[in-house]
Amino acid sequence: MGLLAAARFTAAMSAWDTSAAFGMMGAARDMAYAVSGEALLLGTLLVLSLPAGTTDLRGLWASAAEADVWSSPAHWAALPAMALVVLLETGRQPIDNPDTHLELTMIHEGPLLEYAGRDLAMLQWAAGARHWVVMLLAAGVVLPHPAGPLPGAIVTLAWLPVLAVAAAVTESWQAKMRLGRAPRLLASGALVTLLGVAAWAFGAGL
Amino acid sequence: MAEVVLAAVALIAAGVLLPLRRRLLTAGLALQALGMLLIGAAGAWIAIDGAGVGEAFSSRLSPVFGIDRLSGVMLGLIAGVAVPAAVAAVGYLRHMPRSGAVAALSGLFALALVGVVTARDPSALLACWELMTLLPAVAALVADASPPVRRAMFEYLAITHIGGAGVWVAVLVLAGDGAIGGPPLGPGGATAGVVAAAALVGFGTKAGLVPLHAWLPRAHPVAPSTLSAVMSGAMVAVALYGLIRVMFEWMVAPAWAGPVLLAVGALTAVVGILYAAMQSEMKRLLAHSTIENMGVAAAALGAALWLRHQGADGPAALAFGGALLHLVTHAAAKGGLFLAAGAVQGATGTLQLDRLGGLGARMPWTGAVLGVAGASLAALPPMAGFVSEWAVLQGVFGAARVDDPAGAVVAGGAVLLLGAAAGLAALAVAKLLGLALLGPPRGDASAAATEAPASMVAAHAIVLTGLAGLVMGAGWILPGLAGLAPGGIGGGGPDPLDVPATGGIGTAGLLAALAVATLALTRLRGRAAARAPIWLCGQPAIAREPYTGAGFTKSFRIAVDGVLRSEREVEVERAGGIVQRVRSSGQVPDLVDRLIYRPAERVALRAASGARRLQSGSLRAYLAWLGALLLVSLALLRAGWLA
Repeated sequence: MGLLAAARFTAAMSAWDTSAAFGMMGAARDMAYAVSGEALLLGTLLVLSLPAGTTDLRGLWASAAEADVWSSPAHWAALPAMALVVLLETGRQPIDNPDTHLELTMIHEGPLLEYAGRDLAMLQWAAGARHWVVMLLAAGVVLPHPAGPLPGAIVTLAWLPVLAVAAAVTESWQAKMRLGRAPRLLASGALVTLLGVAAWAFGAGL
Repeated sequence: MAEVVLAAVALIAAGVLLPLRRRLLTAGLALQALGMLLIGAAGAWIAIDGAGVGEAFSSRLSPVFGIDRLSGVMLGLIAGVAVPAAVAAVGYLRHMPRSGAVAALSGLFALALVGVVTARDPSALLACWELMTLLPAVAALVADASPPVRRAMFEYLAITHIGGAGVWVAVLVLAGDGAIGGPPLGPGGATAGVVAAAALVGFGTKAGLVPLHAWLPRAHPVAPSTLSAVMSGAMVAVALYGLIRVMFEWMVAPAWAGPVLLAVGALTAVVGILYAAMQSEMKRLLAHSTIENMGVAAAALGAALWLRHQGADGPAALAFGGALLHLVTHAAAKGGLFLAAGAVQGATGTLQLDRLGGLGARMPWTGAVLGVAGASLAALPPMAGFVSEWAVLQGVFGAARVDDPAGAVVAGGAVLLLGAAAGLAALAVAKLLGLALLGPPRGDASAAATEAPASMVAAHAIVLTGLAGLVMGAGWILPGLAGLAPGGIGGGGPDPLDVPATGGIGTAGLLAALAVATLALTRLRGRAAARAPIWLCGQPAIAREPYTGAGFTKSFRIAVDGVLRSEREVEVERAGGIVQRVRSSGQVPDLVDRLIYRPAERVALRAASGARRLQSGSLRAYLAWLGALLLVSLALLRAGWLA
């Protein structure tokens, strides 16, 4: 994957931003979330890149292998932050409800209202792809897996159903959050990553 | 090479004189564009080739000029904005009063910018610096001397001159020390501290760093668009060029300078783009976004200073190169956007975003510039703005990895702020493009709009070519720019100088593939999208209902209203108990204005009225004051407090 994937990751992220320009109410909310969301995303990337010394996804993946990283508090800070990234990017409860049929509550669905047929299928497919890419990313760079390409890949893939179930469970017991509160949740996630940076910096100084 | 530059300067000088005869306006502007093109090409050649021309830096006070690689980059940047601006001015200025004088002053302004980046001694540098400050104000006032413009220009001159004193202090102290062209000033001692602080304030004011940015969103929008493009694209970048010379070349900056610049830059980025997203007028929005981008570049420079202080030359070079590349990509995009704003104003007579709409179909060239340059501004891949923003972020990441807790926390905070700024930039650009280009026209003027005159379309084409070139070349340019860092690129390290898929054949292939895929998809669909009324839960859509700009940013404004404190007024007119009309208005006042400038203004006015009391006009009172001053001085001298 290499650096290309890092760029593509940001590309997917930003492509999502532009797609929002078409709808209005949903798009406005989406963009409002993106403000603290981007801070959160970059903060998470920073915390994860600290032990790795690079933002190359290969490097991140390699440095998240084995159990060593779990002794570092920085990695612990990355865990909730990444969880929030997954929730935001996949548009899940409590941030968004992907199954809603009420226009007033839509976020990501809102801009898709005016599409039909093949175009709508395309957009839905893009949303699905984003879903899996983000989950795979979370599994690869945050969750523990053995070193070495093949066993590592197998364990990383094995984490996917676990993540999916975790998302489903979260969705079942969380109600959708009030619109104004979600950015604050994301911002507190960003602050957690700042804590992670501080923890890592002080740890390195000792 | 020197002959080429001199010939180009002569061409521009001729281009300045010709427009004074009204018939020769076009010829003069063409000469200006040609001259700037030559200067830009010469600058780019010197930046690549490495062999400088003219004199080297000296601390003596006799005006000399020369070009080295960094100056070459800046010349390329200035030309990248000034050439399309001069071309666009042919059509833009034609119907304005006193167009000849404005065109002449614009040419002089471009020459002053060239002068600042090629000056090789303190006297030439400061002289060109002052010209660069004064000329746009003169040009804007010549073009339009209405009270709001006069007010804006007064504030511009007041703030930049008070802050600009820092430039004089920094440059003259450095010259006195022989540091310009000699061994750099050491980091220890009070002198270095004073110089660094003065340079931050002086150059920072001109670059629009918070809290010294107040003049920028006032002055840039009121100038003619072709002038705003040069001000917003090139002039602020030249200010940061001055900061680079002082902080990186002429002195070894004190330890605090890096983190302070990093923090100020990140804060500037957020504040700038926050208010950009809240603006409802196109050029004001763009001016606020300029503040953001200067903040991003300044943050990268701060990270580079800090990394250099820590001895990490490789990451420092990356941050440095990122800052320069960001200046270049921002100049190309912002220059184009201001020219497009000029075209929109010419076609519709308004810049109020809520009155525009549907211009994408009516003004395809202007729409294309707005779309492409806007995407670059919002740092969307594969635009060049994404490459530079990514390089800047990598630089700041590097600063967070340095083994120093306090610096790491500052850098981590800066990363979060820059992330929020990037999200807000996308919001602001989405608002700009959505309101201006898409949807139904929101006013008669925009419904009747047609494409701008030929010269402006030509300028748009130049801008688009430049942006496309940057998309192809940004990945190639970045290592070269990083090589300009005083410490060099340093020995390898894990820091990636190449951002993938941003330069060369790979990008070209990717773009071609994207274009083919898009075309194929549109063809495959086989039919145009059916026109159908939009879905509003079964109600008919009425013209007054579409989202406004304020509505689009409302979700975000609610989330941060505790900080922003927007104001809102609703007036209800009743007659006989029945509501006749509801009028609502809202605005988001600038917090920095309210918290810093108004109290400062009050204090200054009170101090002035106190001082006025001394001016009694009575000779005896003055003599008494003089006598008292003399006595106090003598007493202090005797006490040994005055050496």
